[in-house]
Amino acid sequence: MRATDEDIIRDLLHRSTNHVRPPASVVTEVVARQRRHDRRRRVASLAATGAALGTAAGVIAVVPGHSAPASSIPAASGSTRPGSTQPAIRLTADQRELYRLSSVAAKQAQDQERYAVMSTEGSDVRDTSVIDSRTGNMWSYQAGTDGSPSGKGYTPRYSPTAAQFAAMPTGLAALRAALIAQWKAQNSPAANPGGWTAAQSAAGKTGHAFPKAAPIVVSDDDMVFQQASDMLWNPLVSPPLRSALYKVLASVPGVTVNSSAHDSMGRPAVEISRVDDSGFPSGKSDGISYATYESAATGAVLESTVTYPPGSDIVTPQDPTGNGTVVDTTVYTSVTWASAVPADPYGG
Amino acid sequence: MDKRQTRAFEEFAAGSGAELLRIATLIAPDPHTAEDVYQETLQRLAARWSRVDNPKAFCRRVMYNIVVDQTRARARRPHELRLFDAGEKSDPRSADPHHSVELWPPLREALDTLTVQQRTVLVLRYLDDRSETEVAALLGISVGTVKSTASRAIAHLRAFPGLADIFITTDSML
Repeated sequence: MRATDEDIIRDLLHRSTNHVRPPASVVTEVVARQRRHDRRRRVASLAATGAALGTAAGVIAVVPGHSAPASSIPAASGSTRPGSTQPAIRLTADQRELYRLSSVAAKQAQDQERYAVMSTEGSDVRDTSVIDSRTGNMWSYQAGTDGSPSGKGYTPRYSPTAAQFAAMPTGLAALRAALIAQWKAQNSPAANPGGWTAAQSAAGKTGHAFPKAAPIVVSDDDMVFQQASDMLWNPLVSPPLRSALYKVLASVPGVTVNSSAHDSMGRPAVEISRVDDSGFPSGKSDGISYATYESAATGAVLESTVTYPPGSDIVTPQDPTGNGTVVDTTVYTSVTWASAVPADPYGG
Repeated sequence: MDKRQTRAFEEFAAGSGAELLRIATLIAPDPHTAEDVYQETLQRLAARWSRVDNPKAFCRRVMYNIVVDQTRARARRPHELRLFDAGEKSDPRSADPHHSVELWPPLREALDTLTVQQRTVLVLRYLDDRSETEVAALLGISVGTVKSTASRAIAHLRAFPGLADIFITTDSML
């Protein structure tokens, strides 16, 4: 082989691919998918901690009044119920709305079929997930909104089981503590074993070193809001737990409620949102808002969104000016129950 | 990924996306597969961003693995995976101008006659300008195998009828 042959190949490969430019939308899609995955994964790995916490809850003092029906929610004038241990503080309008949702959610029947079939629509993809309430295993079927072919996957132990959800505490303080403990357990380095090791990448000493991200500061309230709002979508969450989660959200500072909102399909909805405080070690938040939209009638989740703030330095292809926009949305279009795993609805 | 990691990931993708898609275009069997490989590689990188020390090396290795896996799967189940042929009208994506990552047809034909490993060695050596040692580490093969694979692949391309003009022209200039 002559050296000139190598030069010819080098020239040929460069010239033939000079025109190749990736569409910027791919990166946005990848990030959006990863955000959805992260949100679900945090809760999915609850299986590792949920059972132990559920057992512990039996010995944690339950906050009285946690399962009170709507009629006994303290009015603005304060509760006069004999023996009531409700705090004698005024509930804000936002908190009252969350307590109302809590009451509605508690009255829903828990479906008894084995498999939950959940359909969602994201900005780029339609997705039907089948979750086995006994094992937590999940089957997922996808169809891109551009009509690209269905992709399907099977993920073992994707969700906590219905029994693990049922074992979680429903008392306000115990549930709050459990959510914080779960968040910490699931976000510790030990929760992410394996991966591309330093030894492997050192073997290929290519490319420049990439700076590691600084640890992010996350408050207890951040953890509680993230964990609770990330759990609500799951159809395996029992009515008592869902009811308790709304009460926990009422205890988190910074949560705002808009009871006359609509989701992106135009369905009337109660919007629960919070600007996440987690961010730089300096304590400066980067202002990203997380919202879930609930059905006022059932307390079920209709949609969840991630919105970047106006004037943000976060610039995406969808938001080139950084003026603030919804960068990720998942619309929950239906949940049904089945006694067997259904066929791929997209025919893949 | 937390928010700061997301931004670091977006910066990496903005800076390295073009070179990754170029590599994918040359090692994948057709343009649509190349785009899928590119997107899937970024998705796998995003999934383990905080644990990847060298994202460039990670992406190259992942791209190679995906193409190898797809080639094997396609050989086993040709009808399931060949949902449409490249450029076919019924493929909804063929109308999108952003998705045109077509190669010069004689080069495409010539590359199709090489194995995935031969294509990848050539691309990493001569498009990506990696040393033989680096290519060996990325693909998990010996330096000797890199040398012999590259020289066999070049000899093969040299003998490929569609590329004859390129090699002959240069020879006559010497």
